[in-house]
Amino acid sequence: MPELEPEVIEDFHRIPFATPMIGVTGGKGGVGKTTVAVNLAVALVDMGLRVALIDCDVDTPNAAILLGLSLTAEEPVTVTRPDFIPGRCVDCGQCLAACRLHSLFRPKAGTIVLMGECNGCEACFLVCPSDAIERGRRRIGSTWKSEAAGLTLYTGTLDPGLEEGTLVVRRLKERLAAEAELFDIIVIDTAPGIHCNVIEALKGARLAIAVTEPTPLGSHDLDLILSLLELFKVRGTVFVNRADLPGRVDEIAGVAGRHGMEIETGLNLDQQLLDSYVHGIPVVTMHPHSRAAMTFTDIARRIAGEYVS
Amino acid sequence: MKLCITATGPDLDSVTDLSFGRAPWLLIVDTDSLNVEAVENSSAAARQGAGIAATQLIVDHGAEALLTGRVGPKARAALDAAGVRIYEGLAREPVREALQRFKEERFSGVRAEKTASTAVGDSRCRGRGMGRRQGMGQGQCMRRGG
Repeated sequence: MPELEPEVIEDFHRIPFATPMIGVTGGKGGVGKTTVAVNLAVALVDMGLRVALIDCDVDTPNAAILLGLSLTAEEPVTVTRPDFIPGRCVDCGQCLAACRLHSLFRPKAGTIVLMGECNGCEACFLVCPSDAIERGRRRIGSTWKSEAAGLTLYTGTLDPGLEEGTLVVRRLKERLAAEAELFDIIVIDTAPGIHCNVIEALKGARLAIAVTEPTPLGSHDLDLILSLLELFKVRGTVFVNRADLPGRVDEIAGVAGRHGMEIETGLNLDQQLLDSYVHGIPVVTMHPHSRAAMTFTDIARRIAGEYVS
Repeated sequence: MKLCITATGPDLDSVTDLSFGRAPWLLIVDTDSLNVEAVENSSAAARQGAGIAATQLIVDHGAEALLTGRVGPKARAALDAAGVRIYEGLAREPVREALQRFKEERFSGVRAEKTASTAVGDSRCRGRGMGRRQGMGQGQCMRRGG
């Protein structure tokens, strides 16, 4: 496996605040990441802690739905778009050469137009010798902040059809960072996959809970996410959801073992968990004495004991 | 007129290339003198925006028209912005023969003044239309020959 430069790993773990962050991730979609994140967050609140839950699945954020909250306190997320000032261009062509997306076009001398996609890198802006480019803004999504009893939910949403999800995650975490000292602990819900969005979401996490299920897809994607955690030297733990499916839990254990881990938690799909899921209410709230709720309460106690001073 | 023909090589005996942005060579041909300026397409392997970059190259070399297989939506928008006439429906053949057929006015050119988004739909319609016309032309040619 390739290794990252030490500075990259150092940067990954550097956060500007002391509040511990716990990631909930897992590689595969639909394994119950959000269910785990939401129930863990609510269980931590029930222990009397001040908790922030940050939904970094900016393509399909739905922690708010499971918490019965509406998205409020919207702040737009924008990126730079070059605006060309007519008459100032000295026709040097440096912006054309600097644009790695080949998105700038000069139909005639002294005229530059943005024809293709722009990722807001500002290279054209930096190389222009005649101040012919000004910073315009282009909207890519929003961040939101919703409050429930004891719990603050931060949500990022990417506008449909755009590719700048990682930037929305970054802005969302910056919004949280400004208020992080108000909380005792932060729970991060990531998108499925092992791409930039997920890496950005897990940045600074002290522990990542890898949620999976005993299916061939579950063990395949668990292997990927555990490799990612190893790459960035993030402490990981494996949570097997629907552990009572007639699948191969031993395969999951084998994948975890190859990464030097064990299955720390198994959760069976009981009737109360299913009931809470179809009602869109966290099981720790709806059925606090169910086995599922006890499992989440137990994880919350262990995490609080280890990470909250 | 300066006509750009997309090609796999740097001279009139090379075979045409049916793509625009990804063509290895862009031959700027003076249709009167048959002088050829061979421009290597430095952006043929670009991850993004090859069509826009190729348009920039041929515009900077003074091309007034483009003869190629098919033009993508971004390149079309750039070509329109620069006022370059587009001739699509090029076949795989030596550039010299394509040029001959061009001079016989066997390609129909368009110079749309549309936005990139509307050009996408238009390009499909145009592509079909020219294909049919081209087929008819060849048929007539064969009948005459027989």
